[in-house]
Amino acid sequence: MSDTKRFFKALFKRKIVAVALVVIIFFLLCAVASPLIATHDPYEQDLFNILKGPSAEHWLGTDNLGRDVYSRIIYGSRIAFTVGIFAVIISGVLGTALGLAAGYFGGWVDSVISRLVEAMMAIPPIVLALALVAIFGRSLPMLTVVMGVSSVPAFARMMRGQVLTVRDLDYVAASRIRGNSNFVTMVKHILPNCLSPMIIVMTQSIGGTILAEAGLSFLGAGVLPPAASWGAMVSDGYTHLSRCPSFALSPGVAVILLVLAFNIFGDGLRDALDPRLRGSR
Amino acid sequence: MGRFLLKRFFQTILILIIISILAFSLIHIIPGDPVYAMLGTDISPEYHDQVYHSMGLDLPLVKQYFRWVGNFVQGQMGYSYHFKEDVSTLVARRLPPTLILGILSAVVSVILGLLFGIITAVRRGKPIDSVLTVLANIGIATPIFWLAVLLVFVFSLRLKLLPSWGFTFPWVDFGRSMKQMVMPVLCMSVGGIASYTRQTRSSMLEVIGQDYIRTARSKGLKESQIIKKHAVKNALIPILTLIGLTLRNSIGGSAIIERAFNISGMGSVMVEALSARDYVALQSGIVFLALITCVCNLLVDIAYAYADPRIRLE
Amino acid sequence: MSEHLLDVKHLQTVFHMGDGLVRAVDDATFHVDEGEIIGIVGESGSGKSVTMMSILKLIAMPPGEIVGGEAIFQGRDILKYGPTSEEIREIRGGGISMIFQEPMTSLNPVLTVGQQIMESIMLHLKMNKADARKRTIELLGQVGIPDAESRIDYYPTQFSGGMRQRVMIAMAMSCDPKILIADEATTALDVTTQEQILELLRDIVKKTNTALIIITHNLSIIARYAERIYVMYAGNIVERGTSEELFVTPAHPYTMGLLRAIPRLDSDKSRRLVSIDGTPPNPAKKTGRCPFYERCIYKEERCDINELPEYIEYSETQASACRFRREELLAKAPPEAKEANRRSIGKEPVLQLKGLSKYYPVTQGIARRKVGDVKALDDVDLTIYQGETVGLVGESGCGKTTLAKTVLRLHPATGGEIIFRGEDITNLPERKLNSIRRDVQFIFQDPYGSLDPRQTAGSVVGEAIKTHKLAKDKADYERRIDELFRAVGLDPALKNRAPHEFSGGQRQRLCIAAALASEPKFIICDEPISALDVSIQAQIINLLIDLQAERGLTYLFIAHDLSVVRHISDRIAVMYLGKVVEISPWDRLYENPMHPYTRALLSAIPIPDPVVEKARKRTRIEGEVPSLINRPSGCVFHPRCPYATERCSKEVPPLKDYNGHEAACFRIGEI
Repeated sequence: MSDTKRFFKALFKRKIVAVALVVIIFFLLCAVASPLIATHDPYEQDLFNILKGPSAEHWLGTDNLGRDVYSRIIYGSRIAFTVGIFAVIISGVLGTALGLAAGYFGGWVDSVISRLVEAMMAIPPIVLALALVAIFGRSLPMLTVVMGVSSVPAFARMMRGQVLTVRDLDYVAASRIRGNSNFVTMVKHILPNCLSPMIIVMTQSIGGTILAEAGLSFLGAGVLPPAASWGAMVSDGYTHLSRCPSFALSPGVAVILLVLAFNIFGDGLRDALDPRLRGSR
Repeated sequence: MGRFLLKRFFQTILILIIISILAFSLIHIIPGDPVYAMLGTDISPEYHDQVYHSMGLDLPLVKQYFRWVGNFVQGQMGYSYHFKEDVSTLVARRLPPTLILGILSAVVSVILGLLFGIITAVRRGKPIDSVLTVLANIGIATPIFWLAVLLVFVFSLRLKLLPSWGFTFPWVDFGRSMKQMVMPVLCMSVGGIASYTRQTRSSMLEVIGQDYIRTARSKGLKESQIIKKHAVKNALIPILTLIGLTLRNSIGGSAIIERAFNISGMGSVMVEALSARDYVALQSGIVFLALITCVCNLLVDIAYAYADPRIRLE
Repeated sequence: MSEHLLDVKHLQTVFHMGDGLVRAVDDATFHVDEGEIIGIVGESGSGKSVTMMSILKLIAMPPGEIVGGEAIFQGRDILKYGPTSEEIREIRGGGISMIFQEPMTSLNPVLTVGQQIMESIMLHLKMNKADARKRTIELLGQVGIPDAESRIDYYPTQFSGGMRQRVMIAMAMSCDPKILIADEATTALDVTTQEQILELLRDIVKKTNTALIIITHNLSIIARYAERIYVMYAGNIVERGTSEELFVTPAHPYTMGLLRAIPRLDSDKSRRLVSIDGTPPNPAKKTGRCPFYERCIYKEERCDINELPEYIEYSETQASACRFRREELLAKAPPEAKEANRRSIGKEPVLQLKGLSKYYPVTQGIARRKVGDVKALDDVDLTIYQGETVGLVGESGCGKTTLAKTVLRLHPATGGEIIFRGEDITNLPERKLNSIRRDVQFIFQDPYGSLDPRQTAGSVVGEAIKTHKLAKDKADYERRIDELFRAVGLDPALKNRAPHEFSGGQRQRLCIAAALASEPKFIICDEPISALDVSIQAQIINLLIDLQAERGLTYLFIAHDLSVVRHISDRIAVMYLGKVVEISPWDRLYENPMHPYTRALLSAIPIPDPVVEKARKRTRIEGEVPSLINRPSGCVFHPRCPYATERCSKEVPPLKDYNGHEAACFRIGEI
């Protein structure tokens, strides 16, 4: 009650965080209610009106197949949200589980997980994602899995560090002294206390995941056409940059706005949840 | 210190072994017959079997793996059917541009990032802090391919100042090389600059709150001396551990940058190899790139162990 | 102009925090003369450190702000100087220098100690590098750092805590300051090291005629070293006076209360400590009235006005900020020092340790080849009887916490036996430990770290009830929790609050309630009061004693503070580097300590009474507790022992019984 109130007060202490939340909600609306917000069918080609600049009919012009760029950006938010949020959930859950196991059990479990994590982190992220795309394929669900799996190592490492700090705290020993089993101690006392930093980092990584997906689409390894993906739109528009700059540049603005909003919101969440800033003493 | 480094060295070897296993498995994990996947299904069965055999795919897995690793260590990375050349010569030809761009942008991101980070921390709450922090936030949120498109649009198409594509080695034509490299290096470093700025800032702020900074103040030192002599060195130690990954990120980003600026480097080899299902080039490429990252990490560990007396004197 | 070296008048410092104004220092007036040692004593949050930091402008501004007052140092009001001004920087280090509490974090880890000291010298004394280096070596020698010529190039990590604090002293004294401020400078150190550092400080300031301001929460230290004392409470100096005046004729209810509340090495044990009820006021919610009002047992209606009381002067040196004169206070009914609860000690042992050992392997190289053992516990024998309290004392690394954790089976023992109520539990498998987990409980030192911040107070307390299925139903569970809350003096209505909403003392009560939940027979208390404020400590000690009598509990009470242990224990065991060196009934240990280490430990603890202090005979020992990795051969204490012989370095002295008083030393009787 008072805690929830204090949390929201801390979260929106900086006005920009509220603005960021509004931007996120706006894009979320675009994704959920795309048909209502878009002005055209995003797949409808009009070969007589290709690569047109912004006009009253086409707010952001048309692409190389005469499709409405504005409507495609609106529909593109669906891909961004799906990949951004679900991939982070996948990597967050898997990473938390692996990190918890490595941190709590230590020993060879830790060694195996840690080396595997470091090995995956030594491969440049885009190359790793490309390799995973080759394995999983390019449908939207699979792409989400790819983005999720490729950031599992970072989450696992982070969680492991968290567990190591919490594991040695007195209240964990207290739980064992009170007769709780390892499992109860882990679930009831260690996990909840590692979760809030994980939630912060998960929020902060949504933006990065959206960026990475856009990069993959730009390379032509994203969702298969004709689906509207922001990265692929920039890539298509690049070829026609001199004739129609709005086609290549406007999807990028959408990426920046949404990613920035998620990052700022994540920072706000960190400031509000960070136990060091909360009056625990 | 020796013990720490020795431990890191053995861990690195272990990591490389794991990576080689992962890369090796790729060919067997990806659905479908690897030879048909590489060469298309319209080849004759005899040719298929011949390639299958020459790649050693009919050997037991463990034997295949050791043959591949053995060859790799001797510098024989196999023949790429897609690029129509040995992977070793391919890498020798395509890696240098990527490395030059990667190293340049890594240097730029580290130097500018640290500088901005220190400035924002020292001038906390002042206008310059706000401006740089906002810029850093935008920098992190900007897709590098979009930045590349924007730069090309402004500097090549509109202002006609810089060439929009290509790569020339500086020793071939220095002026042209520089002109061609400005935009790629800028794009590749923006993300790095932005994240180093943020991380250095928070590290500096943490150090400034430490007891020994209070001690330094209580001795009557000037604020500028406190920053220079007492704060910066401590703040950079945690940053150092991040630097090892800079080159990795730059090289990863090079896949996008090479496409945007039409540079034939290692990044585009990886993209092409993937779309052409050229597993031979892919496997070796992954191990090679990971090797570079591991070497960087090891160098950083050495620097770290040296910079922090707590580890050096262990 | 003022004739004092430093004359601070009506200093007032506030912090502008998010949720309001925190008035850290309301009104601080004090002075110090050349070559004088004064003490400022107060609990955490009393504003003692902020006062000193304000004078040197070392507080963070913002959020801090010095709202009023003046500080005349050598004729100039130094509060007027900006925090980064040339003038204040000249005074810092040059005129007034400071030593801080944490020796581990107060020195820059990436610079050598030489660099850090020379920096000061070159700045204030304008010496060149070579001269500064020469002076630094001299200074390091003066503060007792052996082999200063080579150690000048060492990094802080290469020194122990006590040595680092010596380095800090050398640094603070390097530019011949007029005033040296020691801000809790010895709090983080071991008892015997603490004494060495304080002696060093006193010798050095007396030799150089430097004024020394000791800031501490520890009344006893002040009694031994300070000539005049200021008592701070909630941002105000409530009383001042010479040490004799304050300890013999205290005039402020807070000072009186403190003196009654702290256990002393020479006090009568048959009476309870008289605790000060309540907690210090929250500095963010202070009103203008007497800060001690809430907790004062003498308060009357006229105290309840929003105005600070004026000082009543008793002598040139003593004054107290209370509306009543000392005689009036004494005429009111003094607080009853209740008879201590009586309890009987049974004959049957609850816990027996036979040759208990705990080694940690020392490994080398990549293959983790074992090259030796760290003997955290070495062949410990100890028996604790039903209803008894055994005190376990020793400095850092002596193995007291390892002993507790081994008994609790948090880690396996290397050798020996743990027998709990007749059952050998040394190697009992985890799943069979359930009844032990119910019967043996633990109270941690840090009430902040031992409560899971994600649980409510009620669920922390009730956890053991659930684990051991002690409640019949939901209602019974709630009833039991309420009962436990009341048993430790907490309002059951608070059970839905999160731990961070409780104060330190209340949190420790919660921990005690949580430990009692499983209806244990035996409780190990690991320094349960050392993280608490002085005025709260007595409350917890009394609570533990009461609970023991009510519930027939047996305690193993671990502490580094001999005066507390003495107050609560029936028998006391002294440990040093994993070995028990002496076990004896409490009274005999203090009257006739046998082991040289016990003697040194006892004499290192000051008695909060300057008169008694001056008459005491003291045994001093050199050096610091060595690291367990370099554990000495033979008698572990021999390198620091003033009586050590050849034999002590070769043979391990066994624990020998002298009529129920055991000690492990070859030279008992001779010394």
